[in-house]
Amino acid sequence: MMQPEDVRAALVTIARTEQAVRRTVLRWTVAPTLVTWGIVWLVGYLGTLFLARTALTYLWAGLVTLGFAVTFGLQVFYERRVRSPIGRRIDLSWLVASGYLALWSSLLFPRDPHIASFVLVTGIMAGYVLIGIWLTRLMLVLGLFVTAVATIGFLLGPAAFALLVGLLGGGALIAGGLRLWWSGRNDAR
Amino acid sequence: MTLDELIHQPTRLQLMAALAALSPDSEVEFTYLRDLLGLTDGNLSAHLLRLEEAGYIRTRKTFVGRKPRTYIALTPRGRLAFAEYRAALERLLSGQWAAREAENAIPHADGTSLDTGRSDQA
Repeated sequence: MMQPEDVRAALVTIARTEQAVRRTVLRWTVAPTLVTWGIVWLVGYLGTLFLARTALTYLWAGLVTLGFAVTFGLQVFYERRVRSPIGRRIDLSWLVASGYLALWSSLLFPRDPHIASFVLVTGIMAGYVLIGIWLTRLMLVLGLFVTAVATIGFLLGPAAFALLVGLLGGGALIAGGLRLWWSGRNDAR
Repeated sequence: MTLDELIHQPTRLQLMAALAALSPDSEVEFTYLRDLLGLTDGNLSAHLLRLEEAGYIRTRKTFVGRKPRTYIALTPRGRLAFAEYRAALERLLSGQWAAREAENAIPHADGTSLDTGRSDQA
């Protein structure tokens, strides 16, 4: 006859293993992606304050290319260890959503990068909030925080927007990524 | 109520829980499971073999570049068995609690009861 303690121990083992799997997945997929895009935003938006328009175009093109290359490389690396059809669909969904956001913001506001940037940043953060509702509270907090920062910056003007989104927005993504990485340090990959 | 003895073994329980935590149709590389659960190659292989013989998991061997790799996935049968095992644990726990409460609620010789509110649930 099993004792309640044995039954409880088995349920605890299940819960702990599930948590370790979740943390490992977040550590090797979401955490590096957050840090990468945090750096892209930090450098890109602070660059907006100091660089001329042409140099800025090259800077953003380089940063976005680098961001997508690192994100794609990480997915390929992780796919060697965990192959998940749903994971692939999530990656593809992000790519599609980013593409549509870029299309709308560039066509609807071609001469107003301030509005276009706001649409892009808050559109991506809407994705974070949705993921946060379903998967992890950290993404929800990040999404809401950066949305608030971007909204305040937008109302204050282009320079404040670039400063706030670069420092606080990019900084929050980096901090969030490091936190996810750190919280999963005891779980192997 | 019986528990699936094959799953109940602690290492295999961790293995099944790890595989069930991933989305259906996911497969994981051998070393991922080994590192996640802190097992040796031999220990993991032995437990995987038992689960594979029961039809709970399937393995697929392939090459990535020149390196041989083994991927492991939970079968639909394995997912169902794990879900039933987990449900059985939860039923067992709630049943044992109910039994304990019922024991406590048995009236003493002097007619008093330790449980004042739920003695009718035995």
